[in-house]
Amino acid sequence: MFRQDHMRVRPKPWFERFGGRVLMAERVLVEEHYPDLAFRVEPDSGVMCLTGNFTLRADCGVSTEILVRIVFPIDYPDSEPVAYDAVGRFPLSDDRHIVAGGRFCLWLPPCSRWYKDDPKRLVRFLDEVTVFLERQLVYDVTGVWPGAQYKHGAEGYEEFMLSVLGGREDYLRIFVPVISGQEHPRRNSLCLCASGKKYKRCHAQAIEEIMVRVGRNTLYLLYKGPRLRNNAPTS
Amino acid sequence: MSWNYNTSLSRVQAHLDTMGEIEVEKLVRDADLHSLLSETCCRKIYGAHVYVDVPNFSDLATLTAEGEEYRRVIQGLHLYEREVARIVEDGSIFDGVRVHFQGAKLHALFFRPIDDSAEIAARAVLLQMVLRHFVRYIFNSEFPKLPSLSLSGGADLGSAIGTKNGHRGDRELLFLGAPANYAAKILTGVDDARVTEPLYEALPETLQSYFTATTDDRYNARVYELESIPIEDLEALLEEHGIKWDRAASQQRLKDDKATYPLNQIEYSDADVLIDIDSLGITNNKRVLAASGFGDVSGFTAYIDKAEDQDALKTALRVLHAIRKEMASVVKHDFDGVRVQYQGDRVQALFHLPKRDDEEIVKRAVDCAIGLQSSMELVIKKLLPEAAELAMAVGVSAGETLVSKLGTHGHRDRICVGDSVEEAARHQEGSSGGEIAIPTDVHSHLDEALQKLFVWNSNRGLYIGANITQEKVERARKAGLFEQTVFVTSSAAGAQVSSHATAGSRSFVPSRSYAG
Repeated sequence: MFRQDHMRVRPKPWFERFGGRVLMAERVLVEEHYPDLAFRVEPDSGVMCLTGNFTLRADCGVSTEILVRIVFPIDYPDSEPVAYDAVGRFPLSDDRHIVAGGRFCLWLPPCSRWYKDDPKRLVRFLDEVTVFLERQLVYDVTGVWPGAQYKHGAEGYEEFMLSVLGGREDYLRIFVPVISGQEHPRRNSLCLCASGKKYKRCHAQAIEEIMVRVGRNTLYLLYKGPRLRNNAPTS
Repeated sequence: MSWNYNTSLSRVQAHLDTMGEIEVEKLVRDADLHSLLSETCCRKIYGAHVYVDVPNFSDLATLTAEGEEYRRVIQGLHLYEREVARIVEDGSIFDGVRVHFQGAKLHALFFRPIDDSAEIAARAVLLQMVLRHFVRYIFNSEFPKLPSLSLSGGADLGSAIGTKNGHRGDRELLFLGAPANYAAKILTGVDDARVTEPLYEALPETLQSYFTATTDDRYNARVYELESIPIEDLEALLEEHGIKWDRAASQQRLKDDKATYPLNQIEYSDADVLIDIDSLGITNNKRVLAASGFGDVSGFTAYIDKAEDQDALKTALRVLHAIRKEMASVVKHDFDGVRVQYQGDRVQALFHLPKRDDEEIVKRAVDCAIGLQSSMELVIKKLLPEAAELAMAVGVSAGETLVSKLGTHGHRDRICVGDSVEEAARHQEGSSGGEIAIPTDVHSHLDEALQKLFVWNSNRGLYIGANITQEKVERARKAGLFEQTVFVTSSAAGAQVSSHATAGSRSFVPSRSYAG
């Protein structure tokens, strides 16, 4: 008997779903706040992009134009877009938080500011890109990244995990086997931190937060070796 | 009080729109250059440029104590310049052109008889001889209570473009080209007189014999130093060249001037409001704590010297006038400073407000230096792409400064005298295009973000800021902004990131960046 569920229908791209209403809503907001940017489907890949100049104005009236390309994932808005330096205006540099292909590392993935249910998510994302570009221009002048940053690569994730664990490096050492999935402490057993409390009332919540926010795949990449590696997973 | 891109852009564009067609011709007959030349009426003038400086006046204006001694310095400076102006300009004496005094430094031009290189060169040398004699034996004897003054001279021969700035009642002769430059460059600041090789080669043999060849290590150029000359020889040479300088008459004029302007009529005071130099004179002077700044168009002499045809020359002059006027506007309108003088392709500025507030005064001077760089890099080069190879070099220094005006025959030589003026000029002369050179005491008054944009140069003993423009300063000052809430506004005009809320701004704490 013919079974329909064996037929794999390629899903519609996000900008065609719901009669294109998602794209229309985003377009209205972009035209209002970033009118130099325009949506277009890249002919080769069929991927939707938002491209154009970000014009950054200094108080003295000098404007700096930076051509940016923002690529939308197929499952947008569930996943966040990715912004790129379209013409290599800035050098690729970890210190500038610009990596291969000119991709802007706006944040550590577990700390993403992407809120898919926020109707103004894209404008907020573009504002983050604006601030990121402004920081690039500050870096051009000072040679120092302005503002807070995580360390590069795996150390950045370690820094994040440490912050969840209250900055205690000893706790991180103790809980690495748990975080990496090699050990599974019982919730009612005593916590590994030797506090004398049950695990569920001590570190269970923090460890759970780390595992959810970092994600199983990333944790696997981070801990498949004997120690934290400096080659980071992609953000 | 700050530099603004749009204001600067409008100013330069308006000037370009109203600037008439520039005409450059060779000067082929005698003329009164003050009447002939204008912003658009320019002449290629073959002549000898002479600079004669009395370096002692800078020290005296800076270090002399308040009171009668200081009034004597002012009296000496004014009377020296009056008599020197007469010697240069009087038709029966040297019949030259007093371009202006740059403080105590005279810039004179000899171009008569037209294209007679030997006679022109001779006059340039004889002027140095006469002034040396005048200072040593006449001026010093009339002012025994001043330290013995010495004179430093330099002269070069060749063609330079003569033009004028365009303000009614505020017109100054400007000369552009190698001879106007090198004559000043070979000054040593000590008691000697020098000429360049082209001028020496043009001299009659009778005058060549008074020179010794040497090398100026600063420019690796051959120069000729004037030896001492007996008064009998000087008088014979003056007679031979038809120059009727009478030592006794010169001395008598100095005595008469001293009687006309006795010490008790010489006044000076500090300034509470912006100095109007044109209201000053021998009896009304200012002594202020001030920052001096010199902004020079680096590469302009080479730029104009290589302009081979009329069109290239016209283009170069159009560029110069656009830069020159904008430099003055930045000083006067953007930073409330005093535009003291144009000196060829450079502008001299003075900042003395708020009164005696050294920190605010030097901050303003450095902000203006950055404004000058911004106008050059962001506005002039945008509107005049042919200016791409030019750049601005700026020097700043601060200290006690005597401000006055030399008033003879309607010529308005605005003078600022003091060690800081000379230092600022030296800092600029030692800088490349795009640089701002400041001493340690100026650097220490700047805010931390701005301080970091200057790099210590141990060879020069100065802080050097390279390619600093206003928007870069703003960005350097924004470095601390990203730790706290920022406000973003965006529209068709562009986006702006600020530390404070504005209409329609959206706020958030910037994300903690990462690279992986």
